[in-house]
Amino acid sequence: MKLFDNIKKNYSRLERRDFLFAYLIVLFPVLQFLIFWFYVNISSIGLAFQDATGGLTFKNFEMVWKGFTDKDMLGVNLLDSLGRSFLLWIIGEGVLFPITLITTYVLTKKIAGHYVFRIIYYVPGLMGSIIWTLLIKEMVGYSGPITKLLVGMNVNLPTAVTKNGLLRSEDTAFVTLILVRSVMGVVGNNAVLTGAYTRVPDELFESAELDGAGFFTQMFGIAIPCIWSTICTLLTFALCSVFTCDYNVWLFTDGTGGYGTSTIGFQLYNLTYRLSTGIGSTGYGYPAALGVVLTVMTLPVVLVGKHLLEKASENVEV
Amino acid sequence: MKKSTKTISMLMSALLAFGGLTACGGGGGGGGAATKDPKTIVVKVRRAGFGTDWLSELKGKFESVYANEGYKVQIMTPDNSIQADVLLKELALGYETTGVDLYISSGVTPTQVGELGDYGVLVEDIEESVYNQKAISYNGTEESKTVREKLGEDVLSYMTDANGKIYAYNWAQTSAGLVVNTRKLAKYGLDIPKTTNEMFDCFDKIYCGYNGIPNSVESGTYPITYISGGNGYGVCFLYAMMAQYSVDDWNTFWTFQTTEDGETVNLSDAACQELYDDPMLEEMMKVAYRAFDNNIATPGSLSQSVDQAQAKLMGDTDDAVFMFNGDWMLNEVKLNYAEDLDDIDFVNFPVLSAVGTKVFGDRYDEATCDELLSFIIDLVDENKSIEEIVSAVEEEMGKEITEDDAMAIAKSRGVTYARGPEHVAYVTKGTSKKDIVSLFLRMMASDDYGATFSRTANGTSPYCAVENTTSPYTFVKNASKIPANRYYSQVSTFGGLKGYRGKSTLTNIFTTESHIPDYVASKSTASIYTATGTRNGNTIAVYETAAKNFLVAEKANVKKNWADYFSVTRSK
Repeated sequence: MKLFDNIKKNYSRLERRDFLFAYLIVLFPVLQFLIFWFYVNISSIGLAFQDATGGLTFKNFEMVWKGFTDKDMLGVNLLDSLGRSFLLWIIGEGVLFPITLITTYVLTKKIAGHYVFRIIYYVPGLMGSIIWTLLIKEMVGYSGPITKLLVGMNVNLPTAVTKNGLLRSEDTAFVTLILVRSVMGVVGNNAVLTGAYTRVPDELFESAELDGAGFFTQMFGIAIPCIWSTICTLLTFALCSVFTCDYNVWLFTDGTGGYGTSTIGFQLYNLTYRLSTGIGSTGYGYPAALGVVLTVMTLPVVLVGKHLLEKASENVEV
Repeated sequence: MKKSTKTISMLMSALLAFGGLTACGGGGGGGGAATKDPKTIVVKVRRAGFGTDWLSELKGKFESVYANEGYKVQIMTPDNSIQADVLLKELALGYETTGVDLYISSGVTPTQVGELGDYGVLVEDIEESVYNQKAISYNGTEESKTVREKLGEDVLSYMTDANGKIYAYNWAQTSAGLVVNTRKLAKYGLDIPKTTNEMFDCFDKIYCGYNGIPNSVESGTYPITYISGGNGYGVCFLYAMMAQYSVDDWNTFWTFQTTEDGETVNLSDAACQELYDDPMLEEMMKVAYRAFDNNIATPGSLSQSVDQAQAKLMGDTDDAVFMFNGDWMLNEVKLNYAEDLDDIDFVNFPVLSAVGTKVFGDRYDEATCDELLSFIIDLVDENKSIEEIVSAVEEEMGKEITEDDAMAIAKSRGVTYARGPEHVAYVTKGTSKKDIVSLFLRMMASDDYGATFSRTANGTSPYCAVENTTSPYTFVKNASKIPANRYYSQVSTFGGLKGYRGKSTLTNIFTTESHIPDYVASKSTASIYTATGTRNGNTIAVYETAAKNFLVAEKANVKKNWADYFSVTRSK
């Protein structure tokens, strides 16, 4: 009650109402966080150490080990999937992210036709991932325009491709997934980076221009340092997502993850699905243990990576 | 906080809250609010492939018969999403919230809505009020048989929960089977196959070219098409193959480690692993490797939806002659292919040729076994008695067979993998109008209603399986012959399987591959064909070897990982 008296004494009625409003508006996401993140994660950590009868066991971790070193009981080799996830992540963050940085910067400089280009950039982001995936799937199908184009160009495609499309052959499926990911990835952070670039004061660029700085000097010398904190945030998020992004493999392969496309994110979902609908329907422990192992693997990478990114950045006040 | 910011925030919050409330809704359903009138029953139906014309007609008849009592039926706007989990969750909201007396839907098992379900008992037990009462005809008089007698105890078991309570009402009979484009088949001069060997012979001739038509790669017409990924149509075919091989062992196989009373028994590890030695599995796998050989399937079969696959069966571009589908297909293609509906026909899946060898193999060679099998299937399809079949075989083929032989073949031909038991209706727990709903359901079991359902939905009522002779479509006429046949029986994996392996299905019984048709089509290299429409010199032994190797590898994996399986699958 003393707290309420103090609040009453120190704040006006209007201020108290504002505070109440602010707290109530925050309440919903906090509750959401507690239920859908905190509870779910704690629960899944508990599951990792339980057998189907609820007893304590480390068997689930033995299965994960077997999955990485050989094949698990469902015939899945997790190391292959992990390798693919890592490769996709390297391409996404090591190649595509720098390209996005450059293309977004070019667009913010208002080159001729920049409105059109910006719309072209934004449209894929506005479409739902299911629609986007279905479109791509049709485009690379056996009768899709991309496959037809390749055939028309006399590219020597495997028979499986001409019969069932680029995503249905071991030789082409993963490469296609990488290319699809590239198209989708380039536009991924465009909105966030555009916002960051436009906050850089024009005076800095004008002054640099008077000093004779060229287009790319302005970009690397002024724009990127000025938005470095945004870049750090995006890269930190990217560090966390290495094992969880499944790149829509489930949708692209009709739930099979076949043709050498499965990623570790896909396998997490796939294992949970197969075990939950399988014999006895109590087998969440194994995928939960895999989740714990991946978290343990990711945590130091994220912490060290974040530390290094912060260290590398110079806080530029603009 | 600025006033404008606050106003915007308030608006956003209101939108958020409204959105949340909207998402949580669903209790009321479409078609306006459910009436509170004590004499009007509220029905919510899933439209699905059968449409809802039958329901409107039944409503009219019901209201007319019970005009003096003032009983009426309110049909809420049909909603496709009302099935499976959505239905379960809506039932869990309770009668007071939904106001719906009767749900006509699919995909929720009696055990899910019974005492052992996640939400406790959600529906009324209808054994006494419906199943033990006589069906009511359209003139209001009672028929001679009870609803239970009309349905049959086999199907009733699927309507019963694990505690023996009869909660579900079966409202449609549907069968999986082979859809044939007879217009295309006729060009090859081929007949509709009755055995798997005949089917593979058709496949071979279509793929390699026959009757003046070049091979599939040149003609663009392939033997078969199917749906990609984890679709169930191909699995239905494989279930049927297993059931045909030994229909009497179907339940024993799938309720492994379970007594007849549904009690779980603990068998030894070795006995559990021996499950994979069952000849039913091996024969099914041999057929699977041959039927899903991707060389003979239309282009795109590994990456297409059901609509795309059906378009290939109906159309003439990268097209197919056969497809594993169901008697519901005509309703699904009716709108887009109104002019081509006479081109398609529906038959039960061809009988596994191994059945012929199993029955006659000790007396005749393989070719004669298949010839006998095919001949007897014709007679079974004509609804001949066992005595008639035995004498016809003797007179026309000059072969002696026993009545047991004929019955074995008749049972194999008569068995169907049915999706019918999945079509269930439930009376909501707590309804004050159970008596009126029961009258409605009893009328739905009448012969009169059977004719209505047949005419308006192109389907078959599970209470009145008669041959449809008036439909304009051969497809519907022949589909209706299947449940009307005297040897008809159905197998299903819906709700009726209980015990330790109670949730075993063909999509999880094999540990390393979850979907056999997709696995074979996408990964198997066993083939007697090239990709260019010719034979490659291999014999069909490659399929048999592949099937055997698959099962050997599967069993080795089971043994190797037995402890792991046990740790994740042993129920509490």
